[in-house]
Amino acid sequence: MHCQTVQSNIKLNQLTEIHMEHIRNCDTCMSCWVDQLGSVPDQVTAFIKNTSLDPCQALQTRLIGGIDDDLLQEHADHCKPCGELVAALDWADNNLTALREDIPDPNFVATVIAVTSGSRPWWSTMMKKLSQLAMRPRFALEASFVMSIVLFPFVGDLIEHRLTNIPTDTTPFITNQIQQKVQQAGILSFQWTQLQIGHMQPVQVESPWKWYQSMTHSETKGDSDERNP
Amino acid sequence: MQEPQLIEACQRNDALAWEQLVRNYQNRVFGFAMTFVHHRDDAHDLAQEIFVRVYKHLNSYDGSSSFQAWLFALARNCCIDRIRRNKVRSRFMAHVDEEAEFTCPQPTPQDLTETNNHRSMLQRALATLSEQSREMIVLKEIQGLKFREIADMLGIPEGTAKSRSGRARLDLAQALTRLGYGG
Ligand SMILES: [Zn+2]
Ligand SMILES: [Zn+2]
Repeated sequence: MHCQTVQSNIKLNQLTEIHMEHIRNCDTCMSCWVDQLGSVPDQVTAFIKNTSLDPCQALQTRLIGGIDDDLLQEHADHCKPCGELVAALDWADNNLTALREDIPDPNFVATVIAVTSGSRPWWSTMMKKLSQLAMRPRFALEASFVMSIVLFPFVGDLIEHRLTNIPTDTTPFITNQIQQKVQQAGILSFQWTQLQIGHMQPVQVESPWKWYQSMTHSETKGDSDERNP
Repeated sequence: MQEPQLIEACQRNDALAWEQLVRNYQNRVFGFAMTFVHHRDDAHDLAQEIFVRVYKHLNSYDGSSSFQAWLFALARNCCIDRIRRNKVRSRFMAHVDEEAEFTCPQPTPQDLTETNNHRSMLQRALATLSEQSREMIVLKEIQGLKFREIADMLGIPEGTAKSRSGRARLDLAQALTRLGYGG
């Protein structure tokens, strides 16, 4: 039987013994059934009470669903095997936490310390150091300074060489435009880095972009102001 | 020192903090290992392996989950690797039972107190469960992780974790009844 069929029957609360058999063995449908029990408990309880479903199996199904209610207790009180099962479950609940901790031999900690000292991989320590270094404002500035010097001429060069291989009329125009933009970005990035180093402020992720926008924005604004005094 | 500060100190390679962390968790980790291998010697090896792995990977803990959920996810992987290794090994050793991992030793004089009787009974019952059920009991009932944490760890929906847990509890109750737990 398909899970879909079972689940729609769960929603409609039209369950037969075949459905219950499936629910008992299917985690997905079981959790669907438990959700349904949460939303309309009386209906499903009534179903279990009036069905031809084997009461012991019904009890087990409810136990799997984590449902502990009067109906379950009522049956357990009158059925020896189920009563034993519920008692065993109670006993387990009361005693399982005893397994949470166990005391190892007294020299255990010393052994672990001896084994772990110096065993952390060098790259892990280096990455941690690097990330701590990167937290310093100066590091970010230095890094962005180096990046602006290295990246922009390199990117500009790369674009020029790539695009000039494509023979179209507009290629020189596009190449020119891109190169100009890249150069402009490189210069601005360089200026910004110098400015930041002057102020020694920590770098915010969005701040270079905001600054870039304000620079380009004020430029165009200035232009238009000149045109329309 | 509070746990987050302790972990940060460990991540900075603070040896004293690391020792404190091992002390704080040694009983939990050893108890966890015991639910997987049952023999104290094996559990010592396994617990040690877990701490070595914690030490190596501690820098990848970012505080987005609880530390114990992170620790037990790592410990679980360690136990699974160990069991897999032992299974491979046992395939080459004709005399070794495939399920030797989960058979329990005869009670030692240490086991004679009531608590230890209960422990050994539960260990024996756990040893009869399927790997999936045993894992659910260990993570939920014994270590007290939340369903959400278990679901994340196993990569399953939370509802599935809940029903697996219910099934595992039923399996355990049936195993205890079969073994005549004396409750
Ligand atoms: Zn299903
Ligand atoms: Zn019954």
